[in-house]
Amino acid sequence: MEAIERPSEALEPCEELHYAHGPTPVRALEESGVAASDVKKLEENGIHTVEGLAHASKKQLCAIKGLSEQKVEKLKQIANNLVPGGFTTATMIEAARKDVIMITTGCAKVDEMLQGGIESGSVTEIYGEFRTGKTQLMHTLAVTCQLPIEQGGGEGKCLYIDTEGTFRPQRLIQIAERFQMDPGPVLDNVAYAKAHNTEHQTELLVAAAGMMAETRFALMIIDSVTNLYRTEYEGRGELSARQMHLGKFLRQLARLADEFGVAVIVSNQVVANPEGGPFAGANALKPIGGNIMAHASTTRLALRKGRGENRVMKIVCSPMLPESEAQFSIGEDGINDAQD
Amino acid sequence: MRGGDDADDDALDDALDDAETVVMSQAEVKRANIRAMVEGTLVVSVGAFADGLLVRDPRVVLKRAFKSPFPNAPDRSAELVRRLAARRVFVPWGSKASDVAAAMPKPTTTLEEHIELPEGIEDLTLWVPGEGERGESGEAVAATTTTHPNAKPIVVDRMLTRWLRPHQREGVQFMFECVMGLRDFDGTGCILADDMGLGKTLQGITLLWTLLKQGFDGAPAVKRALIVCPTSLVSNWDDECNKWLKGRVKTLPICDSTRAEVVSSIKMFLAPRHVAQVMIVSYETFRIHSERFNFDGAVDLIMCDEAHRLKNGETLTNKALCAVPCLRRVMLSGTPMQNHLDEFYAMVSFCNPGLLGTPSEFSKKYERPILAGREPYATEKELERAQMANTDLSELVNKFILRRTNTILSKHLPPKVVEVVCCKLSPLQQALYEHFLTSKAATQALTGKATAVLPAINALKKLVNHPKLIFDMINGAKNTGSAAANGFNTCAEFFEPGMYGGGTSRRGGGRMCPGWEEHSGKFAVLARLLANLRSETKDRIVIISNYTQTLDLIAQMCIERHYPFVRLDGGTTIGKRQKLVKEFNDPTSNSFVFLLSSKAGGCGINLIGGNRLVLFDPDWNPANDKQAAARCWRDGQKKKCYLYRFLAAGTIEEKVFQRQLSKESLQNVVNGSGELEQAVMSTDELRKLFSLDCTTCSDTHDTCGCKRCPKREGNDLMLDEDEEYKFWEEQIDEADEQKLDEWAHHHRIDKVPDDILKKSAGDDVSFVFSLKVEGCAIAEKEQPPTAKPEESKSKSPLKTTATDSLRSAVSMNRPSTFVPPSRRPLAPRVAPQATVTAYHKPTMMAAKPLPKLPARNATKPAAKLGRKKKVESESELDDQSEDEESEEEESEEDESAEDEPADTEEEDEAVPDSEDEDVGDTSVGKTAASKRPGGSGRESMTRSKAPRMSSFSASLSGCIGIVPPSPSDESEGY
Repeated sequence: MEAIERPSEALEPCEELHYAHGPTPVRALEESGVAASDVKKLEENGIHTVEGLAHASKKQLCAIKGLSEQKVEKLKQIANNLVPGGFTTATMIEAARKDVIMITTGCAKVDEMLQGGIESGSVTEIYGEFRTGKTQLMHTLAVTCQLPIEQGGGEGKCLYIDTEGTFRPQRLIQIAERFQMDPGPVLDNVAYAKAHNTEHQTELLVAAAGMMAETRFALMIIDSVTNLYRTEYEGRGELSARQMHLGKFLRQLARLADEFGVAVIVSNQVVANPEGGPFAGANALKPIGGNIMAHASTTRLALRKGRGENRVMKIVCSPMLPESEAQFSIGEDGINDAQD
Repeated sequence: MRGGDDADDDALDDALDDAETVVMSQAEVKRANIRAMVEGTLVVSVGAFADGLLVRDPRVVLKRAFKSPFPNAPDRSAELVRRLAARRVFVPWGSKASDVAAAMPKPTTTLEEHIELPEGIEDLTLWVPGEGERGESGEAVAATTTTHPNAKPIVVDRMLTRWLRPHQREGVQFMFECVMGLRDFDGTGCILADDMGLGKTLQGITLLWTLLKQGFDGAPAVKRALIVCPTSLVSNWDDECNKWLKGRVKTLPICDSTRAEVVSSIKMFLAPRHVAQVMIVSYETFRIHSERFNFDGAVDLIMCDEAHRLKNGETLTNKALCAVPCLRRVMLSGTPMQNHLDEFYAMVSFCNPGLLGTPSEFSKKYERPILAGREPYATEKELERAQMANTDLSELVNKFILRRTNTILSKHLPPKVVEVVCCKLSPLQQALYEHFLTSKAATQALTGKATAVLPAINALKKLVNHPKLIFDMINGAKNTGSAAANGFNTCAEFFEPGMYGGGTSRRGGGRMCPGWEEHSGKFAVLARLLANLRSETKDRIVIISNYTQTLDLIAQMCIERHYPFVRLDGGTTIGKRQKLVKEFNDPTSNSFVFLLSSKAGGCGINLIGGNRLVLFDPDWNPANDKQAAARCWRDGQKKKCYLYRFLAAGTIEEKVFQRQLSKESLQNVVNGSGELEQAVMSTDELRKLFSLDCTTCSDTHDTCGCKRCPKREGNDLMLDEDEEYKFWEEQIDEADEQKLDEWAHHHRIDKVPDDILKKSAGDDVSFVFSLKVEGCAIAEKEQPPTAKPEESKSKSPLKTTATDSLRSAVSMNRPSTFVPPSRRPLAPRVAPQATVTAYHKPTMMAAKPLPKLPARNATKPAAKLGRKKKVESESELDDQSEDEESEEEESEEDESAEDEPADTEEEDEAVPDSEDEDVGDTSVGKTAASKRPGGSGRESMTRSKAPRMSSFSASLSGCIGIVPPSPSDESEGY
């Protein structure tokens, strides 16, 4: 079959077509002759889209109870037929990159530095001491991601996984008022879950994938990603197990970002860096999670305190952006332009 | 909490009202509650004081789709859809940069508001609410309009309107009214039978898009549409849809696929949550899977391209399509009337079932009277009845058939000269012919043994092409022991040993004696024609024959004389075809002859590189010849065209030709003139298929009842030339084939309006009919006779119509070369100064507008080719799997490999044609008709349409007097 996937803006956003431009739900495979029971098994294991199936490894699929190797083989084949893959040109990528959705942070300077805001489809990590505005930034983003595209939003829901217990919907209402948004729907559009342990945190991602397959999510927040790991795994003896687990978790995050085109932002805590010595300054603090964490995030942003309500955001690592800093302030209405 | 908490709240009251539907006062409520509490029957449920504060199940809210917190904002803006779509676009490595641009969804900001219609073009409003009452059969429509307050006027999208020519607007309006039941007939089908090149595809797409977007009640009239077309056009349709609609409609072309994939695509298309709105499928594939479409609401519109494929009501394809419960049927066909009124009936009854009654009713009411009246010896009464039947039928069908011929188009095409060249037989041919006629086989054939008729016709047709074909046949028969050469068994003595080499090789490998071309009259003329063309002009020539063996011989001649030639027949792969055509059309290449098999050449190839075309032998089906003849004289052609139809005088070929003429006149039923053409030939005359009249200079002329030429006395009488030219001035090409007696008749060669033919005729040409068709003035003609500089200019790669138009515009400023306005081809009617300015800064203007000008071939030939190849393989696959009924279009593939069967099949064609019994065996005819490859009008597909349109508009504005587009509009088009 050569059903050329040719997206078009002509299609009205009617319910019938609501997955037309998101990823194809794995249910669509039933039309290609996959048994409904198999589809269910896939969904239960966090594979909700055909893309997800195509990108999953055979090993992962074989681990699903009830899927034999032959069946996996067949499923992969069907999925690969539906999902284009292989090499493409940089021209193509360049053209597609122009249309990546960026979610505004609420501060013009920061947006400028980040060339639009938090990028969709990749993982952004943000770390800093307490009181540097990590959680406030998360709250702001949970609202701005619902803005229309023209206003720098993502026109989608927000998925919020909280490990520190710092989520305050009241803040969302305040921030929504700043953007003249109706607070009721704003809160309705935020899916919140509290993770109680690292296992649970990982399981939540499976559920998240299911929700994302149902409707448009623009942003996924994990605040913070390392908190539970930090306390659950103790000492050097469990370090490698911790890192393995964290690695898997982050990998899943990246997969979700890529599969559904959501922006993923995770916050990270810091640890004092004893090697820096007394004169290390800002370098005295370093993010935890080690190299695994560092490599998993596409963009790394460091926060530090500035004068008064101002905070400084610094790009530590990015595939595109140069190392640079921008100031913002934290107010009642969330992240805003820096005060003089 | 209700019950326990008996707060005197209004909301509570309301809730109670809802729950118990009993109106109670507050006191009563209180009492009831207390009673219930005492009795223990109290039921407590969660209620809300106000709607906004209702506590909802979070699981439900979580599952809900995103809702924008802004009251008026859409939950899913077009921009979001576009951005998300952009994420999914994947253009594999190896594609062109232009594909990337094409694949990326376009920014939404350039939509409707930004489309400005060119000056002089207005919005095309198809329908305004309340208009339904207009048609008598429109009560239902009127009713719906009154019940639907949100009915909006139906206006064609501007992105399409801006490209529509006046006749296309009319066509769209027409089809819309038919399909929506606004016209006064019982049905919702229509046939758009415009001539090739009038833009049926664009009109079809416009209708499709309009119905997909709009409808009487504000909702789209069509949710799913099906386009059925020949296999090779599937990807073409897909490209066209995307080009014109800029990818705004999701199409699902079924090209190269395994069965399973086809099935899954169809399932996806028919699923309630379908994404694709338009499925494009080939007739063959559709037939196989048609049962899947047999439920109500499967599709809302069927569009059949090249719908003459449905001319046989008995084929499975036709039945399968008929079974689909969708009555909005649009048929597109360039040649709706092929052979027979029966076929026409089949098409109409598909389009509007039951409108013409049952076949027998139709036959009784229309067919028989009309056919009877067409006999030359019809009685007065018969004539009258025929006239009435014809008028009735015409009136009826013209309600849903729209046919425009390319008279309009001819105004911007260069002039052409059609010459029917009757050639004498060579002595050898004559001897063989006579020998055959006296043979047993011929007698058998004459007594009506069907099995003998076809080979006999075949053999004669080959013989008049060249005796070598007979020689090969005899040799072949000797070797295989078959009886293929019936009737020529004893002919060996006619051939001198070594005349055509000893070999039996079919590809003409054997050495031939010098001067072998002279053994056939037609060949001799052709040989001289080629020689003269080669030495005196730079013209290129296309030679078309039904027989690949004839092409072999011509190829051999070219080799002997060192003419560069290319050859395209059924054995040529699709990929190679495009290459050959490109090479031939490339003005810088050293091409001269293009040999084309008429079956293979039917499908839309564009040979504008050549301006002379020889139809070496006539086909039974006039539509086939018409198609073949249109290869050169078409859009993009810059030179004057010459079309030669070679006929061997007095032989079977003339009979075939006459047969064509008679069929052509049937077209008038469709053409809408309503007037009955009297056939030139009676069926009795046609019985003389097997006669040979060597004395005549043209049997056709003798029998056509020419009253203008003085009586014939042998070969050498002469007549007043002026007399002969009397009519062609008024000639329009629509009538050219039919009114042969209005053409110029040349008993001698010296007045033929073609120098090259004059020189080439020699003694072999006995008679010429010629017809000049006026076209636009061509640039070359305005120059002094030796158009060398022009020639070299046109060789530059930048040979665009724009430069041409500018050139001619500039030349118009010189008084000496003034072109009268009505002939002015491409130049807009503007003040000379304006044009000159335009000439000075063409680049600026060309760069300015229309970044998304639909560019056709330039963009993705490679992709197209690849896809076409796949198309072939698909149909083969279908073939093997479950094709019992061999109505594949691909029969051209067989043709080259195995010439005999293909030819025989062609002969079968003859049988259903003749109404008389002598040749007739209708059972053979039926299958033959279904076998016939659809000679089709798909010529427009390889052409760059946008430039054509613009030049077309210019010519129209020049001719008809529409407000002329401004010069900048003009250059926009290019």
